[in-house]
Amino acid sequence: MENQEMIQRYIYAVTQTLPAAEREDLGRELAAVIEDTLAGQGPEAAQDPAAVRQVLRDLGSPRLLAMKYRGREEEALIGQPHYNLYQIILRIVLWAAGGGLVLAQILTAVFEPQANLLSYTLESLFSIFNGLLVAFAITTLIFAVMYRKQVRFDEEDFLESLPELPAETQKRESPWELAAGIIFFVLFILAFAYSPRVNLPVLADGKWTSILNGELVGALAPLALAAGLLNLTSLIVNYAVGEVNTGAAILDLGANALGIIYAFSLLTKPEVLNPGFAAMLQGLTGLDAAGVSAGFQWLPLTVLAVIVVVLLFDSGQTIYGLIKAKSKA
Amino acid sequence: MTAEEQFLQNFQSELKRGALVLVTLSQLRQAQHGYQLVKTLSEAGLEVEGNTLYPLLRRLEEQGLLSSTWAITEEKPRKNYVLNPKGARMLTEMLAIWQASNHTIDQLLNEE
Repeated sequence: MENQEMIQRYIYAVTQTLPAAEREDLGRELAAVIEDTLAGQGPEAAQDPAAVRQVLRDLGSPRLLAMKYRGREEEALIGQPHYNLYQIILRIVLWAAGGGLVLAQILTAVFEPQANLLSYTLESLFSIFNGLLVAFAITTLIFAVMYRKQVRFDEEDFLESLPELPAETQKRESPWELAAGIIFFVLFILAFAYSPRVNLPVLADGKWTSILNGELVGALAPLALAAGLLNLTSLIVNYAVGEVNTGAAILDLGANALGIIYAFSLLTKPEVLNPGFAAMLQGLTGLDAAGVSAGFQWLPLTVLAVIVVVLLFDSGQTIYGLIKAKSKA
Repeated sequence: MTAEEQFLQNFQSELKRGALVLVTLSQLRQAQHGYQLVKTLSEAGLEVEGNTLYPLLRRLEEQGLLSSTWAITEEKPRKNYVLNPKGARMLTEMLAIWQASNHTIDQLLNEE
């Protein structure tokens, strides 16, 4: 390669990823700088391929130089401000997802006895690995977006978010509450989106069955996944931000709204209970099918009412906290 | 390189990094192009790599502290950078901070 061609290609490599408006100007400047540097090494340097290569090597890789020009040489996927929390949450998520997946695989084997246990075990291991990978990816993605969007920890208000002493009543969300929330939503996603047929398993008379209708839960799996992920994101963001702000409040309200929509979509359906579970109730109560249907129709609606009340209360708290924070500001 | 040498090199790099913006602005009271500034600093004993200084010049220009013009009257076109009024005000403030910090550090270092 000719010296001039190498220089031109180097400049092109640096400038091609920069904004179009800057490319020509920066290209001219780099060309002048390289020419000056070569001239500074003696009259023959521009013709010496070794000298040209050395000058370009000294400038460094085009990719890194371009990042410096863009002011992004210290960019990261997650970044230091969030890294400690990321480690803690990732650990909780992976333990919860791993535990839940192992449990789901065991319950599936109990529900549907497998002909080839070895093959099922291998498939289960692969499935658990996949699930852990997805959990890792989603957690990392949430933190990457937080870093990108510059969701910040309010360092000025750190005195407000110091952990409470064990003897005192905990008013603010503690890391244990965060961990419990994460475990709950990871298990929710596993039960209602990943293993809808297993959903809520119960054991009676030595036999496992699911409480809810697997087909119905399966049909609503995408909504369950969206509600679970949004709640998980809201939980992490609200904990990370450590204060009430508009963005975090909107996320919390959206997560609650999606939770209510999901609960309505599932629990208002007449076929919400698993026929197998209904049969189990018949056996336990001595009622016939009509009696069970009449006697237990209140159950899903009661659960729905509890969910709605809890989520509306949480939303009310969020709105109240936001108004209070705004009025203080 | 031994661990001690590495430690000292890191210390020197951090000092240089912290002072580079101040030194750069101070040298651009008179217009200079990038390579010329690298040479000026090098001759004064401050070795700065081009791949650090050239992007810094553009960033300082984007931040409104430097102005640039293409000198097309020379035999080769070169982009010259010079301190503008905002940069000059900032330099004054930075020098005051630098001198105050130096004073404090000197006092601490000279304590018996």
